[in-house]
Amino acid sequence: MISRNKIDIIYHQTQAKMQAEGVRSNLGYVWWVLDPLLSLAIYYLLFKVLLNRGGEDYISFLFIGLIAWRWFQMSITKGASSISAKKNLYKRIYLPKYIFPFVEILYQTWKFVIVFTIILIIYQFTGYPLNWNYIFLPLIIILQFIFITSIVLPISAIIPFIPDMNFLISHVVRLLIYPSAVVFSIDMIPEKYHYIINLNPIALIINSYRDIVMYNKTPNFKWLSLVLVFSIIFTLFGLALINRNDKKYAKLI
Amino acid sequence: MQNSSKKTLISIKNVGICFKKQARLSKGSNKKVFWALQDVTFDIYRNETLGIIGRNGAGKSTILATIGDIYEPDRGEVKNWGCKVSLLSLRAGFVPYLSGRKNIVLNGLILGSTKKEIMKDIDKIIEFSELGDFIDEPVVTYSSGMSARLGFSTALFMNPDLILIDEVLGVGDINFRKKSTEAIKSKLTKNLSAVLCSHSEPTIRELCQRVVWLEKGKVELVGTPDEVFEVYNKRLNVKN
Repeated sequence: MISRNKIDIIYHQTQAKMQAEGVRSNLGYVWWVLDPLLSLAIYYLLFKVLLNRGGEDYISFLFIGLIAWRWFQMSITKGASSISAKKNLYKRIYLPKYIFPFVEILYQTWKFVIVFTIILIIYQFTGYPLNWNYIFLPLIIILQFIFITSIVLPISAIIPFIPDMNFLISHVVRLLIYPSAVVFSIDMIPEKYHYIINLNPIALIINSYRDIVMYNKTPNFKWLSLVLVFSIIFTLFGLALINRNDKKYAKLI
Repeated sequence: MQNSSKKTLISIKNVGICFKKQARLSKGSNKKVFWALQDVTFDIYRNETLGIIGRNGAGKSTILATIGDIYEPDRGEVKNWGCKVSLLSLRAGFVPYLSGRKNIVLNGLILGSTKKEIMKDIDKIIEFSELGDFIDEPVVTYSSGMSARLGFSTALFMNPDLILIDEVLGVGDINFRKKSTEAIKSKLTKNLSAVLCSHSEPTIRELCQRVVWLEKGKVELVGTPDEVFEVYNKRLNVKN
């Protein structure tokens, strides 16, 4: 179904996006690391210094969560409008529309992989040494990739028809950070709300990173495989939705 | 009836294209339907340059986009007998912060070529575009004429069977305009066909063997440039 040419297009468009990012600002790629560092500083100030929440390892806890969260957040907010943003292109040349969300997701993924690698190297020197559970790390990354894809594809398919949704999405995603175990660990919130974190796929994924890197624990694969199954279903659904409307997007005014 | 000199590349049969104005909450919910093309029928043959003329809003760009597979006909059908179609659009797909060289690759891929084919021709493309050292500068620094030249050169070398041109031969300076016209002419001897939308009678007369005249989304007349322009110009004069 996906020809060699389409894979080439996705690969080179992703690469072009990255290279363009590097030259667009004075600091270029440095922003990839600086950006999460700044949000780390803000949340640390807010929750640790001002509200005095979180334990001793709060900064390590927060940082790993923020990195994984940013990958999710940026992919959703940018990916949602990925098809509608390329209107000027596909109104002039025919291209299968699934290309655009994939380019955005792959770009964000590549960014995450680089930043995450840097963070893991730093963690080695701050009391979280390499352990055997690291072999599960690629699995969690692949799972998060599919999970992100399963959300971005259906949303990006719908947004060109209902552009108003775009305004909502960034707010919804911004709110989602709180029940996603990014800034609050499960023991920081009352027990009656634990189910929110326990049932939240992104919280499950983020805590799996922490289990591996910080606590030398094997992730809970029972719940994670459930996330995988649903993610695959929604990814296929999103792909079908985009392909079904493939020729309709260019006609939208 | 298909002999070698008149092999059909694309048949357009009773094609209708309609645009629906999306229902907006703020403007009531009545859907407006606008038929940009209604019942358009003609064929495109190999080795010919077909001109499409008509006034603004007659459906010229819409028919090109339909041939280029961008729109799906709401009525009728467009049958492609197996040719590679390339819609010449000047700056679509350029990434402004990247060099002209990188953009040739990106654009070539979008036009359906492989990386290998592009790299084989990239020096010829750069030479034809006359961009010189500018080819390694970001496209964002180009003038509109320069990016038009880059787009045209890339599309020309991607070896399509049919090239669709929407009023773009008028870009660039006089020399490049001449050169691109010549290029299309000489390519035509090597199995390239073209569909050309234009308001310029001299361009159409120079390049096209056949002309389709569109009027309000319908085919008014098909014939040689002489036949069509005779009636077309009369009609325009009456209207003015």
